[in-house]
Amino acid sequence: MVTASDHDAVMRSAGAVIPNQRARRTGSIGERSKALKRRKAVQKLAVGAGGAAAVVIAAIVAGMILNGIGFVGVMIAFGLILLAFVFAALLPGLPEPTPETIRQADLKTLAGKTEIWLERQRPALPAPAVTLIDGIGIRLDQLSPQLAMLGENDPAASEVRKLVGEYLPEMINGYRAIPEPLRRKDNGGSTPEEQLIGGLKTIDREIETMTGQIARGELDKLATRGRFLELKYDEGAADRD
Amino acid sequence: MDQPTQTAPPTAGASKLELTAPDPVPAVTPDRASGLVPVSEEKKSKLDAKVDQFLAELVAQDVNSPEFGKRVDQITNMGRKELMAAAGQSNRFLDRPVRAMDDSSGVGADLAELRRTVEDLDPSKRGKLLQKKKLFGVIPFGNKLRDYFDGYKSAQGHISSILDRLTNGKDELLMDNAAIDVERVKLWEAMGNLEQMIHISKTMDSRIEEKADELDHSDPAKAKAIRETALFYVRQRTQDLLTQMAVTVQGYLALDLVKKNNVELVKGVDRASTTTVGALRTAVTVAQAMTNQRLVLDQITALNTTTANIIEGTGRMMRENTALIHEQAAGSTIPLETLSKAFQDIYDTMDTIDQFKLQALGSMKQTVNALEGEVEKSRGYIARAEGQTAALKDVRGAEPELLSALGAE
Repeated sequence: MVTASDHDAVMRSAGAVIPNQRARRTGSIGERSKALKRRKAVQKLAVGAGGAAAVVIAAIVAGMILNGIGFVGVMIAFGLILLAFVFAALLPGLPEPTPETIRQADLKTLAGKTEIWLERQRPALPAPAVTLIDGIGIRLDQLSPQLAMLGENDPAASEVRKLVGEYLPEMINGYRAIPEPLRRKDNGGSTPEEQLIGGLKTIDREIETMTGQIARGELDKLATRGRFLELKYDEGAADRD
Repeated sequence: MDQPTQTAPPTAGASKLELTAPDPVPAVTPDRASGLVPVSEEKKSKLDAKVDQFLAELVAQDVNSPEFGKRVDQITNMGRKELMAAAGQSNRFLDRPVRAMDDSSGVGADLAELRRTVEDLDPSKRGKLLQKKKLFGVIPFGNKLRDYFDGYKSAQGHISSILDRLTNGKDELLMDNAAIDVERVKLWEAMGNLEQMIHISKTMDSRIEEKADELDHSDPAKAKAIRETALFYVRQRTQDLLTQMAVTVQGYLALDLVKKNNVELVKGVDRASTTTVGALRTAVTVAQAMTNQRLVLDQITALNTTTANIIEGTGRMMRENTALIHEQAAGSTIPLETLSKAFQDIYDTMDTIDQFKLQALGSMKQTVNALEGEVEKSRGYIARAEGQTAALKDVRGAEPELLSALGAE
């Protein structure tokens, strides 16, 4: 007979497997990381195409000097073109972001790098945390265009950097440092898993708040513009408060 | 022709310009700070329910348990968000440059330059424009006057560019006022939230006191613990909230002061532009009447169309004046008197503005001093609030605030 606690255990182990599969299925948790990866792929393609073009030009020049390079020459050229693309494909991909590189990333790529880092962490995390990570990916996407508008030394920017580049990796690395069997053991009222989820929830909420705060300035500017037009052109608006 | 010679025709600025500097904002003491923003009864009862629930949970805990400590931490953290929000906004007033009051740039500088330029054209400063004929019989009478009116042609570009700058300066003042309006809306909201927190804090104070009195008989140790921790922190927080409320109220009122100043200054700038344009138009008419010279001030005319609404009143007045001036014989001193009067109007306006600025600066200074003092006082506990939060976060991640204003949720 299957007891309730057995059932729970089965569900929990199933929950531990499911995210791993999903992590493999969907690559990116946000648009920013997708964009970073796409840019890298385009770069590689450009390297390959450049190599191919160089080979073709070399073949033409050789053909003109030698008065034709013959079948073998054409074959060699083809081989070299293929080699150029293979070489490009073998070039090192995106450097694996680490908490250190995330902290030093410029504001434009901060969100994307964090997303890539989070994607790598997903397989090691429990199911509810993976859902939260996906949510954080979306929040980071929303935050990113706003971050790009801030100056590097803006206090808001350093706040975001701390939250995303320090607290978030510390939370996840802290969890991963705990041996697997202990992760679901009660430790002072709550399990490490619950603590991780609580922390991620706070971070998720805080990213949203920060997005709102950064947008606040723009909202105010628009409201001020509207009020200015009222004051200037709408007679009597000055008396209405 | 028997024209009344005793009075010059009325010029543009017939009504007296009065600019009143608003009174300085007095220091608001914490004990008078609360109660400005009303909290509805419905909200109050909701907040009271929250407090009761929280206290029931607090009293249910063993005083030595970590749970009890956690609840006390929540009290020390109570209203942090509201405090920080209000603190971030209430000293905005101090950041706001008092641009109009600055004599070396902006509206102040433009007004000073306008005055200098206009003084050069003032007929009363030129002395005997009409008497030249008597002194040098050989020199035709018209020339001196013609020279004088030619001065307008060369000055008009300069004047119109100053007037243009003044219009821009006026727009800046209006923009400032728009920003102030937006800021005041936010401050009002922040004050509403603070008010709710103050209500929570005060209710908590009285309820904790009651609870402790009750417990004195059954569990004196617990009563003592509650008094020493919970009640102590509640009182401290109440004081912090009231102090911040005082600062915020003061900042709110101070912003209104800046706004009123700007409104007055806009009036002054409008009047200065109007009187200047009015004087120039009078000059055109006088030139026509006295020397039969068509004085064409294209740039000023062009300016008229852009500042049509301000000039509207002037225009009407001027048409009446024109008729009068033309009725008066050429060579009579009345047209020149009219012109002098028009210049006097400009000076009067500028003197009024200067006087206003002096008064307003005084008010402003007092307000800034009062507010700076209060903000300085509030810095201490804001640092304390920051420290506590940081400490709490270190211990067990950020705790969602159970005790926050309803409006901030």
